[in-house]
Amino acid sequence: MRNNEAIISLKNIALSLSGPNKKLTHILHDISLQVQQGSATSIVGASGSGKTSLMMLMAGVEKPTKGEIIVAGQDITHFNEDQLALFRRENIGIVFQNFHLIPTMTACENVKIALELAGFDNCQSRAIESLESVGLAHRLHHYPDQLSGGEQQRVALARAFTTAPKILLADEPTGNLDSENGQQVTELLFKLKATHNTTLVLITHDRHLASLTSRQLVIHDGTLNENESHHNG
Amino acid sequence: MKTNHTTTVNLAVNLAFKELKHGWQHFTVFLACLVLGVTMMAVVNTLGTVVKNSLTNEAQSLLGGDMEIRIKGMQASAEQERYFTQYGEVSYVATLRSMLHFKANNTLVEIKAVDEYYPLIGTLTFRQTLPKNLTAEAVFADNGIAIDPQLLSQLSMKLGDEVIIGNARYRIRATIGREPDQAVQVFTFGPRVMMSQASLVQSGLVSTFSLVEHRYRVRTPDKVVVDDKYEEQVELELKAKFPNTSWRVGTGTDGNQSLEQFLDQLIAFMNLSGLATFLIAGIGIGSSVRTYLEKKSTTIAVLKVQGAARRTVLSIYSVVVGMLALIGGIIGISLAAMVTVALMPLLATVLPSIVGETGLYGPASALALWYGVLITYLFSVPALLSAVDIKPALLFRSKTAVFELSSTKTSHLIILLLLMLLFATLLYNANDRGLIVGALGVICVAFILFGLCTYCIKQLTRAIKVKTPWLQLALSNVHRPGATTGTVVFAIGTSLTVLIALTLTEANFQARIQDIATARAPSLFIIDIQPHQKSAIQQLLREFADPDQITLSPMVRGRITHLAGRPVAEVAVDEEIQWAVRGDRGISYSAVAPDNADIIAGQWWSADYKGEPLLSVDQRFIDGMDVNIGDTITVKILGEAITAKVVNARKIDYSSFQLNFAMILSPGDIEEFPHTSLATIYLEQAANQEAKLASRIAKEFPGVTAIRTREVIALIKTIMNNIATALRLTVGISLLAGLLVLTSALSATIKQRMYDIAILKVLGASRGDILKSCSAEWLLLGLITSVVAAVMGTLGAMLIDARLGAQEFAFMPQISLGTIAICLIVIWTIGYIGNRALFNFRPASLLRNE
Repeated sequence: MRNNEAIISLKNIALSLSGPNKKLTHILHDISLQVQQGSATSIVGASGSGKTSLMMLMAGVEKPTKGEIIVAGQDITHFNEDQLALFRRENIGIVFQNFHLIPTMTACENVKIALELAGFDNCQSRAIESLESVGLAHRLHHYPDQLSGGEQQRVALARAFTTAPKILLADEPTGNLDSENGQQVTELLFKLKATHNTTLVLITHDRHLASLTSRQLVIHDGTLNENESHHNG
Repeated sequence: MKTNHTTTVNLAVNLAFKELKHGWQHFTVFLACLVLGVTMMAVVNTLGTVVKNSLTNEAQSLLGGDMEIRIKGMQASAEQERYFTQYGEVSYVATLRSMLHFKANNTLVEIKAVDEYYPLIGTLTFRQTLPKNLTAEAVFADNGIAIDPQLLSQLSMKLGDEVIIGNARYRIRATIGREPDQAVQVFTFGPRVMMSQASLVQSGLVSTFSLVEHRYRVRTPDKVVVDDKYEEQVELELKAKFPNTSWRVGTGTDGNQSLEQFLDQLIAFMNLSGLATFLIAGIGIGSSVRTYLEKKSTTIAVLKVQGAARRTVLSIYSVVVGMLALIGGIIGISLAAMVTVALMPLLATVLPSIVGETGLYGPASALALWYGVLITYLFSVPALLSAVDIKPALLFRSKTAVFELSSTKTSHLIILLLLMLLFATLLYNANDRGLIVGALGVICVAFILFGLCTYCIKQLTRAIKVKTPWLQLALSNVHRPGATTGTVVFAIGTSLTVLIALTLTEANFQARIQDIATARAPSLFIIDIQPHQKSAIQQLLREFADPDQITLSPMVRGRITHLAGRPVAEVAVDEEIQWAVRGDRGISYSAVAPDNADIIAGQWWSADYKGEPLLSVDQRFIDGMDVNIGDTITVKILGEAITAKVVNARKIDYSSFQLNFAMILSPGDIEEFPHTSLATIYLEQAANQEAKLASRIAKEFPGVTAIRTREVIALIKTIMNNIATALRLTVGISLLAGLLVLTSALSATIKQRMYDIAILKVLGASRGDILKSCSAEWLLLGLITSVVAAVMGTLGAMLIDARLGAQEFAFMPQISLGTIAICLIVIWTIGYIGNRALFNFRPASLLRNE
């Protein structure tokens, strides 16, 4: 897949979720979006605007009410859960605001599990390599609760990149970090993206972080708008 | 880069190890429940197998030979004894009850008279002899006896002392170590005294119709296979050769048949109790797995985001659960091995022939382990399948998503398969399959009833609307999504139902026995009164009570041969009344109806009746033998057939302890037969008078035995107490399982509650309000469930009571009310301890993280 080809293609996507009284809440309305291979895109918007829902659709963890989702050349709209798991294993890496490391595993094991699930060989050495790439060679055998927030997020980055996914989805990756750690994680994120030529889609409130991406999208009440002033191609 | 099945399994095992390493503390209740269930099943099955194996291995020894020929109340003639020798080597043993006198003391003993060939199999050992190391021959020579060691201390005797039994004096030469043919005796009238046949003759206790069991043990040549067929053949040959004698022939296993049946039933009951405990514990296991997986929701979602398929997640957590089941199972069977070793000495006191081969008994342990794994998965399936369905979206959205148990077709199918496996295992291992089916039926009914109870409680709390916030929160917590109401109801409900049923049954039984003892039972039973002693005894009894308080009845022994003209063998006699046609029975005769006679059909004959023999029978003869008033019954007494017309039927309550005979003949020719008499007497100031009269009888009529009803009733009460204690222990273990489940269930929703309480605290709720709310919830649940359990337990006790043939049932509300009160205290205490974190935590810490 060449860099100017769309790796993510959303066509007329709508998402409605049923509330407590079975009343439908319309989250996303008729969204169409194409994300180019190797690009960095940020999605910004107020709380409840639908940005996380949009990312969930791209990750295949939510199904659209209407529309079509094609990611990495596969129409995942009607994939079942196991097909989606396989799809994610091979194509997607995700970084969360809350890190979501498995607390019973060491940093190394947290990275290794992603490799094991993807069926890689030499998982241990690859995991160590990945952790070294985020500067955590000295924290291999520490458990998440023995690591600082910044270190945890760096483990999460290592985990997300270790299988060399085509796409990295990041949901407020610096949201739970102080500015110094946030800066470190941001630098690492873009460095790894460049190294692996990964397509990056990130959700953020942080305007500085958003400004680092080549394309910025604004979502408002479930409708997506291109922020043309920041569109760098 | 590929994922295959082996990788998934390896991954699952690796992850499972990590989960166990870091999360074992989540499984305390799980392991406690599992260990409890496996231990109980392993102990029951190990002890059951050891007891049964010992019985089978020692059947010959317990019988004292390969085969036993029995005659009741009559010794075999010399000709008959000679005839027995054609079957092998013969040893003669006579057993009877009599009084033993030492100085001013006397006590009832069980005498066993043996010949020089005793024992044919096994060895009789003595604990002590005087002088030391005497042989059996030397002990029994010249009226020497060996006695139960307890008897020595009971009457403050020592070796070498002289005692009186019947008309003779005997010297205590030994205390018994082990009787090779001593089987289980649940009910004995007194300690054992052993003597030689010649010494027994000296006592004068053996005469026609004395209550003596004559047993001829035969050791057959090696080539002879003694089985049911052989036994039948011998009995037929004896009947053909000596048609006037009532023969019973038994083989080793047949001799212990009733014991084996009793043990089979006991083992089956214990197994069912174990299973019931296990099923209650299973709820705890399921609840623990659910709580654990709920806590692991985020981890599972992370795994899914990383690309773990449903199968991978299912494999990982099934392996975790399986490994835990194995760990718990291994702890359980190890514990069971220790428990069985510890219980052996206790068991040996009840079953002297038991050989101590307990410990880790392979098949029983494997079975318990299998039950452990099966029940663990049975109760974990809904939670495991729910874990599979956890959506990775959880990582992006709400953290307080409710972990709903899976109720899909797949989960139902897997549960059904596991239930079928459990059922098949139970049936395969059961001796009484009907009992298993019945018990499972009861368990199913309990599940349905308590399920219904849960539904009603939830509907009720949903319908009630109150304005008090803390009370409304309490009501909401009962029916909220993810509430563990069902688990709590089942855990408390089943345990309390069984406890109340058992306690009420026992209390009713004890009260009835007490009632009989104080109101209806005679003070003394006097047996083996010879014809020449009749008037003297009567005279003595009249010194102690008015004639209307004394009953004296003659007794002969006879065997029913024909019913309404048809040979007994051709009549289908009901199981309930089979005892009446099996061998010799006591038959009395009387001109007038006994005082306690309750004639329900026909008329008693006139006091001066002379003519063809008439017969009064137990009313069950009419119902169970197809005999009507006006039909004839033929009985053979000392070889002579007497055919009598049935003229009336009496309703007899054998549990009244009064003198009752199933058959009473009109006077006539029967008076000419040699016979003995039995007497009963009601005494005022019973304790004092009883001892005095018993002492006079012992002194003046050495061959006559006086049995104090009070002592017999005390003995029955002790036996019932012991049985009840064993049952209570079993129920206690079930209760413990119930408490573990309760502990787990009441603390399972703490995470959800914390969030609610944090918000309430922010809104101004005090610690007291929170405590009131939780208390109201627990007490409401406890109250409704325990009231339902009390009703069901009482119904259960009534059914058991009716099944035992009781006429009236005492409700004893104090028992149910007391149990309910204790239940409420326990549920509140467990709830408080399990949730104490709720009352002291600071809401800010939780809300900040949210």
